[in-house]
Amino acid sequence: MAEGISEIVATLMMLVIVSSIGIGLYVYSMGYFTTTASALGEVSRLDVNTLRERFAVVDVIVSRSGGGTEVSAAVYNYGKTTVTLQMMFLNGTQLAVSDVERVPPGGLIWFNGSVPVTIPEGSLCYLRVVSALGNVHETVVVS
Amino acid sequence: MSMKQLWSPESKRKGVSTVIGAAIFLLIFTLAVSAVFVWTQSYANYVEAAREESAFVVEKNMEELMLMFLNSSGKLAVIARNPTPMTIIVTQVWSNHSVQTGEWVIPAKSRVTISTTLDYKGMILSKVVTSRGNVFSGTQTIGEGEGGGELSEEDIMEAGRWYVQWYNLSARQVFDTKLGNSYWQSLSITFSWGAAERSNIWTLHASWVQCHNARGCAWYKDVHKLVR
Repeated sequence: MAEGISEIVATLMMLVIVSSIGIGLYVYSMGYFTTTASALGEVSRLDVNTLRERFAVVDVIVSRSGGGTEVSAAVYNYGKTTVTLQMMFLNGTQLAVSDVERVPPGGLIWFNGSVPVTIPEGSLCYLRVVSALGNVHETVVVS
Repeated sequence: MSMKQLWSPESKRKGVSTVIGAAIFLLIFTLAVSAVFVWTQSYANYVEAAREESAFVVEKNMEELMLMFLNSSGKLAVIARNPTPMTIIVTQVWSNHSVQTGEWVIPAKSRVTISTTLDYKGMILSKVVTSRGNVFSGTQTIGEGEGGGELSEEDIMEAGRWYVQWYNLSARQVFDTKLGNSYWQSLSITFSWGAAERSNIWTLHASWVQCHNARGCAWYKDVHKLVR
C-alpha cells in the first residue's frame, strides 16, 4: 500500500515538475519570439519607409531681419508616403525650425528656419533638409 | 512484453510526462517557426521596396526636358520638349519664388506649351518640377546677361555638340576651365576633383556647370544632378 502511494506521489510530482518547467519555458519562449518578431518587423517597416520616402527642395528664399537670417525652403514630396521634416542645416549649422512639418504625398510646403547670424547677400550656401526618418536633401542656395 | 504489461496503469502513467513535454516542445517550435516566417516576410518586403526604389531612380535619372520660358503678355509660358522615350509629368512651374501647381503631361518625343498665370520674371528665375522630383531650368544666350536674348526653339532643340565649363552662379560668369564636351542626347559629364579645385571657392563655384553649343545656345544645370 505504502509502495503504491509513493508511486502515485512520485508520478504526480513528476507531472507537476514537467508541467511547470514546460509552461515556464513556453511562456519565456513566447515572450522572446514575439518580441523578436515584432522588433524585426518594426525595423523592416522603418527601413521600407525610409526607402520609399522621396522629397526635394525645389525653391529657397533667404531673407535677413534683425541681425538674423531666415530661410524658407519649398519642399516637394514626390513619393507615396508622408514625409515629416525635422531639421534644416545651412553650411552645417543647424537652423531653429518653428515646427515639425508633414508633407503629404504630392504636396508642397514651405519649411521655415532661422539662424541668429546675418549671411552676406549673394553668398553661396549649402542648405540641407533632414526628415524624421533620416533622409537628407541638400541644395545650393544663393543668399 | 505481454498484453497485460502494455495495458497496465503503470506504463500509461509513465507516458504522460513525455506527452506533455512533446506538446510543449511543439508549441515552442511553432512559435520559433512563426517568428522566422514573420522575419523572412519583412525581409522580402524590404527587398521588394529596394527593387522598386532602384527602378524609380533609373527612371528619374532618365528624365530630361528641353525648356524655353517665354514672356506671353507679361505672363510666363513654357515650351517643353521631351526628348526621352517616356512620359514626363510637370507638376509645378516656378517664377521667382511663385509657383503654379498642376499636371501637365508631356508625352514621349513630343512638345507641349504650358501657359501659366505667373508673372514673367526672366528665364533664370523660372523652372519646372516634374512628378519624379527633377527640377529643370531654362536656357539663355551666352553673353547677353540674365533674362536677355531669347532663343528660337530650333536653336535650343539643336542636338549638336555641347561644351561644358564651370559657371559662377553668383557672378553669372563662365570660368575658362573647361570640363569637357558632350552631346545633347547623352549629356553625361564625369570629372574628378583636382588638387587646385578643392579650395572653398572652387567647391562653391563648382555647383553649376554651363553647356553651350557652336551656335551660342547655353544650358545651365546643377552638377549634383549630372554627377549622380
